[in-house]
Amino acid sequence: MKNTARLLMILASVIGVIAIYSFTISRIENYEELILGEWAEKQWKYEKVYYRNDMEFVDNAISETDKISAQDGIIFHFAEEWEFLESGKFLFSTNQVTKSARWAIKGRGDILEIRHGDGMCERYTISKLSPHQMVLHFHTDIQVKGITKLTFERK
Amino acid sequence: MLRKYSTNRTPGDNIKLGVLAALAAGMVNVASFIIFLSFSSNVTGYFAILATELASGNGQQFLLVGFWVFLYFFGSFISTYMVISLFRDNTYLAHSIPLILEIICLLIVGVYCNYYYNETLLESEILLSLLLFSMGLQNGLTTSISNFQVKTTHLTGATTDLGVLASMLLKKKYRQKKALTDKAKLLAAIILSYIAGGIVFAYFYQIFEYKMFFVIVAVLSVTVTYDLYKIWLVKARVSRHKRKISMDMVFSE
Repeated sequence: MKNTARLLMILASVIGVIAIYSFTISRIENYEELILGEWAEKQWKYEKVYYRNDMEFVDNAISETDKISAQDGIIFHFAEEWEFLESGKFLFSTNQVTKSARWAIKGRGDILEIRHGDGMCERYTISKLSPHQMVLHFHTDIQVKGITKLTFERK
Repeated sequence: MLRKYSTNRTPGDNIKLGVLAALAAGMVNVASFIIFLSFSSNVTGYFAILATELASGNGQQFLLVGFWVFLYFFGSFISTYMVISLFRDNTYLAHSIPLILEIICLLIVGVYCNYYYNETLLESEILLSLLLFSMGLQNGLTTSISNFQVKTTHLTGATTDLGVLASMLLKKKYRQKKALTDKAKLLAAIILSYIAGGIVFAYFYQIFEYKMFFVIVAVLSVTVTYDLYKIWLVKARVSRHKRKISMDMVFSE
């Protein structure tokens, strides 16, 4: 009798866990659908500013020259248009030159991963994703001091 | 490693269990970080996220992270419940079942990642949930059978305790206490093993990718079968001894 009660308790716990999980999953907004489509970059901004005297800052927005020269090994996106396709393909274009990569959303839906063909991988924290605006941050660690914020608007 | 319970365990039993379990946990944590960009062997960070998401009114994230924390708790609950319910009947079996469940979870993750994984968010969240549950199972097991001596999936407590012990062991009167030196050795072994597991996974993942999950399964299988071999050896010795006694009795008659 005791064993039956114990088994029932475990079974009830398992069912409870599955119920909570199903509820949780059904409540989660599908970021993978929300991100699909074309986005235009509106701003690139350092939120924690670390600067050299020769850098030009306008309202913490770093000049494009400094963005390029900041470090090798990082892909700097500026004035770009990004397109997320359902197939997992990612297209980014500047001055009518379009390149492609792969995209995926990871973590708890808060990390955008962009993988390039040469093995290079970019990761952004998704701070905001609404039908009209997307705000990304990337932690550049020791390579470039400061947390960079990229703001996009739906095209 | 798995045959003895609580205070019947020797420091050697705890070190063997701690080293193998921490090796697996280190690998699993790095695996989840590399593949899913989230940690799976500790939940301290998730408690912080939980509080932040609640404060910012983000109910969906709160529910998801809360569920992950719950899974870790649930793994520990199931594991300990099995140990305390079954150890009087068959200690080895009681201690093995949670590890076998953990192996099954890791096999599911390994097979799925190798053959079906499309890197969608839903897949990542479900696979990470399985890893969190399996880590809860492991930590619950090692903690309950070792009388709270062996915790292998996270190192905050171990690092604190090792810091305290390192400080105490500077004094001769504490160095002479075997219990303290044994504890320090156990903690150092767990920490080193956890780090080694992480390094091994991160390095070989570049070559073998998702197949590395099968290496973790192999490590845990060694943990489960090591004692099976010992039990078989003891049984063989006992039956040989019994045979010898009965032969002696025949000859003496």
